[in-house]
Formats: sequence, C-alpha cells, structure tokens
Amino acid sequence: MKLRLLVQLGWRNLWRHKRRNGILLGGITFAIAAVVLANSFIRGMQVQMADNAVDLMNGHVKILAPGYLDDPSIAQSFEVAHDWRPDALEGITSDMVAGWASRVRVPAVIMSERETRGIQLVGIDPASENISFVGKLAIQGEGLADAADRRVIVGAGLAERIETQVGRRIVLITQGADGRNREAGYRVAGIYRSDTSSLEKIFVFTGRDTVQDLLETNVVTELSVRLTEERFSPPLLQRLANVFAGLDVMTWQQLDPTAAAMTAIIDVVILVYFFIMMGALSFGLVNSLVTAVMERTREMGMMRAIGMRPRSVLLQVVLESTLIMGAGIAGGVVIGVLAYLPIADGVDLAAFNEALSTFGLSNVLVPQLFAQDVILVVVLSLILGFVASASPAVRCMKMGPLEAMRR
Amino acid sequence: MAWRNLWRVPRRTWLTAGGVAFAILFVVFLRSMHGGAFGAAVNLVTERMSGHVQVQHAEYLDDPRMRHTVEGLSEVTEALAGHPDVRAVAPRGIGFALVSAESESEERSFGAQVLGIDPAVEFATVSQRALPGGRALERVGEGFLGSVLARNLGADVGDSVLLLGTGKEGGVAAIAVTLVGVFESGVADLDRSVMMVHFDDFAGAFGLEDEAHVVAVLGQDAADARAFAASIARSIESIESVESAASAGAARVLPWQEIQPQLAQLVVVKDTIGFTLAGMLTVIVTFVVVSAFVMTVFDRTAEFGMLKAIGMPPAAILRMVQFEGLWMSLLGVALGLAAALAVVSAVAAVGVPVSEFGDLAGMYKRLNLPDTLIPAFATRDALLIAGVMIAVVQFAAAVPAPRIWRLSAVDALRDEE
Repeated sequence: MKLRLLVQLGWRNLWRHKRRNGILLGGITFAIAAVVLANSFIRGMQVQMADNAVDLMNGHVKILAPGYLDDPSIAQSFEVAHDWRPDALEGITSDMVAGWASRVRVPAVIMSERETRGIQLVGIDPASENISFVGKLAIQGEGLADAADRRVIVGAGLAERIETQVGRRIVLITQGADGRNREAGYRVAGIYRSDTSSLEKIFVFTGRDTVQDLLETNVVTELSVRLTEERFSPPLLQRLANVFAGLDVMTWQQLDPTAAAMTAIIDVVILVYFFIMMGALSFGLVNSLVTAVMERTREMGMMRAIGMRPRSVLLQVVLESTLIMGAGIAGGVVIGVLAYLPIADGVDLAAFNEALSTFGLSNVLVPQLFAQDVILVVVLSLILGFVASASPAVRCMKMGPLEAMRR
Repeated sequence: MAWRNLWRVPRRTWLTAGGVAFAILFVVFLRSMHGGAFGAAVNLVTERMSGHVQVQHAEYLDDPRMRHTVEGLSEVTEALAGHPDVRAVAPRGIGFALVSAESESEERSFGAQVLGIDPAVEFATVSQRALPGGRALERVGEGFLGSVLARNLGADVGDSVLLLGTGKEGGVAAIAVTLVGVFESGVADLDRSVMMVHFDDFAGAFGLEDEAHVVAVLGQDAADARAFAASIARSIESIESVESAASAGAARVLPWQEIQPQLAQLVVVKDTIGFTLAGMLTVIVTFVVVSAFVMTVFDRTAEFGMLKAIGMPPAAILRMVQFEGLWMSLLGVALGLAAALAVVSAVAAVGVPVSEFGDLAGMYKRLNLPDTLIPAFATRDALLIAGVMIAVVQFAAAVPAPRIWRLSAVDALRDEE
C-alpha cells in the first residue's frame, strides 16, 4: 500500500475522535512547550555560570606560578614580555583569541583614617580587562587610565566598611618577595559596584606597574587568556604548556571546580527533566493508541481481509502515533519559543542574590534557547512516539483477519 | 459497581493509574533526594558551625567590627544555659590579625581571621578536627591553625605563633601562642585564612571585657529556629546589659536563616524548582487522565444510554463515573507511593556516595553538603502530591459530564449499531 494513502488514512482516523485526540494533543503540546522553556532556563544558568567563572579574572586558560594557589603572594610569580601575545603561538590565530591580560594579585591590608581590612590587591592594565568582569564594572568616579595609574578603585561594600570616598587617600600594605612589608598611600579614583556583593569587599584595583613599583619587581602573578569559543581551549593549553614550561597552565574548570561541576551536571539535568515529563505523557499516548486499535479491531480485520498487508497495518498505527506526536511537537515548539521571546533579554532574580552567587550566577538570568536542544527534544519525542505505538501496533498485526472480524 | 467497571478495560485502568503513579514516584523521589541533601546541609551548617541561633550586636551581621560586641556575656550565657531547649552555648570572639611564625625559614606574616573559642563549650567541629601529629585547642596559650596557613607560615606543631591586630579600643592587640595542632576543613578559604586561639587569650589581647562578638546557641531542631530565636530573646531580655543594649537597638537574636542567608535561599530555590516540576507534571497527568475519561465515556455511550433508559438519573451516572475515578486514582496513588517508598528506602539504605563523583564532591564540600547523600522520605510532599492527583482525577472524571446529560437513551442505544 502506498505510504501516501496510509498517511491520509492515519490523519482521517485521528479526526474521527476529535475530542479525545485533541486533549492528547494538548497534553503533548504543553509538555513540549514546558520542556523547551525549562530547557532555556536551565541552559541560561549553565551558560551564565561558565561565563561568570571565566569572567572572574580566570579567562579560559590561566598561567600561574606553582604554589600560587596555596600561597598567593608575589614570591610565586613569573615574567612575561610586554609584547607577548597568544596569537603569535603556532596554530593559534587571532580570531580564536578574545583577549589576554597579565596581573599582579597579592594579599594586602587597606587602611583608611578609620578602619583596616584585609583585601586582594590586583594590579591591572585597564585596557586589557575587557576580558573579565573588571572591564564591565559600574564605577562611580573615575576608572583607571592605564597600567601606570597610581590611583585605586575600591568596591562599594569595602568603601562603606572603611568609610572612604572618591578622592580620599588610603594606605596599602603588602609584602614583597623578600618578606619585608611595603606600604604606600594612594588616592581613590572610583568606587565600583558588582552584582556579587562579596566581590566588592575583596578586590581593590590599581595599575599593574604601580603594584610592581611598590613591590620593586617586574613580575606578574597571573596571565589569563580568553578565547572566542571554548573549543579552542585544548590546542591553546598545549601550546602554553610548552612555552611556559615549569609554570601551571590551568583551565577555568580547574580553577573553579564548583562551576565546572555544575555546568557538567546541567547536561544530565536537562535529560532527566525531559524523560520525567515525557514519561508521564507516554502513558496517555499508549492509552489513546491502544483504545484506537481496540475499537477498530473489526475495521482492521476487514482491511486485512481485503488484502492490506500486516506490515501496512503496523505502519498505519505507527503513522497515527507519529502524526499526533508531530502535531504536538510542532505546536509545543512554537508555543515554547513564543513564551521564550518576551523573556529572552533576561529575568530579574534579585530576590535570590546570595544563593545565586553561590553558584556563580548574576541577578539577571538570561534564558538561552539553543537549536540543538530543540532538535534533541523533537527527535527524542518522535522516538518516544514510535516506542509508545509499538505495543498497540504489534497487537494489531498479530490479529488474523477472521478472528478480528468475528469480534 | 464503579470498582467492577474499572476492570472491564484493565489495560486502560492500569495505564491511567500508571500515569498517576509515575508522576507521584518521581515527584516524591526527587523531593526526597533534595530534602535529604539540603536537610543534611542545614544540619551540618547549624549544628557544626553557626548554631541554630546566635546572639549578636545588632550591627555585627552587616558590619562585623571589633567594637560591635554582646555585653554582659556571663549573664547571657548563664540565662541561655538555663533555657530548657538549649543544648549548647558557645561564645566566640572574631577578629583580624597578621600572623607570623618563628621558624628557621624566612619570617613572613599572613593576614588571618582570628577566632577566640572556648574549647570546653565550643561545638563547631572544625575546632576539634586536628590532623595527625597535633591536637585540638585545650588551654590558654595555645593556637590552632588552618593547614594551608600553617604550610605558608612554615609552622609546625610546637612552634610559637605571633598575632598582631587592632584591639577594640584601637590599641595594638598582640598574642603569642604555641601551635598545638593543624586543621583541614577541605574548604580552601578556611584552611588558608583561619586561626583559632582560646577565648580568654582573645579577650585579653583585643580588650574584650565580659563580651563576645557572637554567642552561638544550639537548640533542638534547625526547622524551629525562628520560634527558638524568639524564645531565646525573651529569656535574656531581662538581663540589664541586654535590656539597655536592646533599647539602644544594639543586641539581637538571629536564627540561622539570617546568619546563613545563602543556605536559606538555596532551600527556597530548591523548593521553587521542585514545585515547578511537580506543577508541570500535574498538568501533563491531567491531560492524560482527562483523555482517558473521555474515551471511557465515549466507549460506554450505549451503556449509559441503557442506564438512562431504565431510569437512572444522570447525576447518579456521573456519581458512578466519579467513583470510578476515585478508585482509579487511589490505585495510582497507592502504586506510586509504594514505589516511591521502595525506591527511596532502597537508595537510603545504600546512600549515594557523592564523594566518588569527582568534581561533584568539591561542589558538595563548598555547599556544606554531606559526602554521602541519604534521601529522606518527603512525607509531607508525598501526601500533597497524592491529594493533588486525586483532585485532578476527580476533575477529569467530571469533564465528560455534559455528554452524559445530553445523552438521550434512544440515540445512545442506536449509536451501538
């Protein structure tokens, strides 16, 4: 029998029970839309977690002196040529690299006229910090001009604690490689705000050359490279390991294992959610198909009697299942995407700020709708529709024409 | 009659009840896993770190300064110890100091958080977990260091450690203690930056007089912390120093939810995710069940027509269908709950060894989740979802009602042919 005819038959059969199949279709549509939407949220979290981990001055790949993570001091440092660039490495082209930055990051004590706090002092070149959260900070007052800027930027949370303001002076004390303390006074150029309030209390920024002057050295403690895409990481990692032999070359996943674990888990979570939803739905699908087959037993028998082959009967049931599933999938994807569009710019979740920052998330969650996720949902749902129709179809095929017509 | 009707098409009954059972199984299982993980996290954080409630200076939480202390400490601890629900009371002094060690290697100092604890009453487990070769803090004049800090300082057990900070009144606070042990919490920040000394040493050096920064109190149960905090507040409000401090807005009792807001919010986030999933599943099951009932009623048009013809009022037919729904949902609920109970207790008996999952283990450590995840059967959620499912099925059974009413006996019987 021709496939076209079978499709036509299947389609008409579905219309014989408008109400029942309409409800089932509604269920499929809802489930698909819900899965598509839930996926976009979960993916949004995943992308943001990874982005924030990279943003947190890690970059995709970071070079550190051995032992720096245990004892983050200037004693664990290395030299980088001023004109060093990752895209000069063999096999690394400039369109793979989003940017790079070297920094001097050391523990220090900040003193205002009133208070003393322990902080992380970070010497940066502001021109290269477009690769990290530092380049995106909202600053009240002025930002740093260049790597030789002798002023500091402090977080709003810290400024409040030590009761300082833009234009006031603070003193920084930190330890040199020789173990002697160095101190110097600096003027506050600006006060920054960050989504994650804990950052504001930890990081104080100034020019990289300024920190090197204070510590009487020309070394840096870290070098981050940000890539345009994650997949360029392995080749870069390998090149850097050769060039910086003896230093630790680490990925953001190694530097922030919590964020890495969370992003890895999310791939599984998406599948689990999908199977739970569709699993519940498949009960209804099987139910409906079985009923459809049962009540048409006589009709099927007749078809067999007039020469329809068992294979065609089987095919017809599968087609019916696929048709209703296909219609539900199409509707669900359309509704899911329509529901996603108004929130595509992000959803404000400020109420959960502290819990979110534990996971490296910002206040605004931007859902991400990936074509491959939608395709995955569509393909898996179609497979499910196939599987669900298997038992009723086999049942229907086994029936001999005489037996069926007698019932 | 309703019960018998169900078994006329056993496959359909099983499938529909199966859908209900499936939804219940997954909702209860996931909630039990979450509940187990987060319940354990809350217990770990409260019982072994922060306590269920803390007495603090009103501004200490937002602005932990040396001068924001709870005064009249001896009276406060005495009153708290007399409260019937209090299991432990631990005063803590918290400050910042530069720590240096006298060792043969080069002398370097590191900034560290200094905790003054009273080993006799302290319940924070990290204060008791000494690495081999050392021991926990016992007496005045002793120091206890995080492992990374000890390594950075090049300090070994027996070495003298010097602390230099700023006292309560702005003067120099200095203490020299003998290192008796090293702890490893597994949380890098803690191991790199925390030093513990005896509370009396801390108070002497930083100039505290019968005062502490935090009085951590252990009650009976983390879930009751808010009520417990209120009750604690009443038991100490008559103390003179607290009364005068409270009237100046300077002393308060905080439940753990306010001390550890991120943990409390995580619990809310977890509940939101759980309810969203349960809500979506409920809607899907509703579609499944409604479609099943529409089929049932359609199939039995002739039968209903007959019943009508012999004089059964439509309301009675509907009642019968509703009872069928009830039986069906009870079957599904029983199946689902039984399956959930079996799965949860099977998993609970073994436990999920999170510590063997590599990356996941580190995350669990940071979030203070336990190494082995033991699900706790979510009884309340189980009953809730069971109730929702029964209601959903009742709704579904009522959907085809108009058809029953409209049905005329003659048409219905004719429909059969």
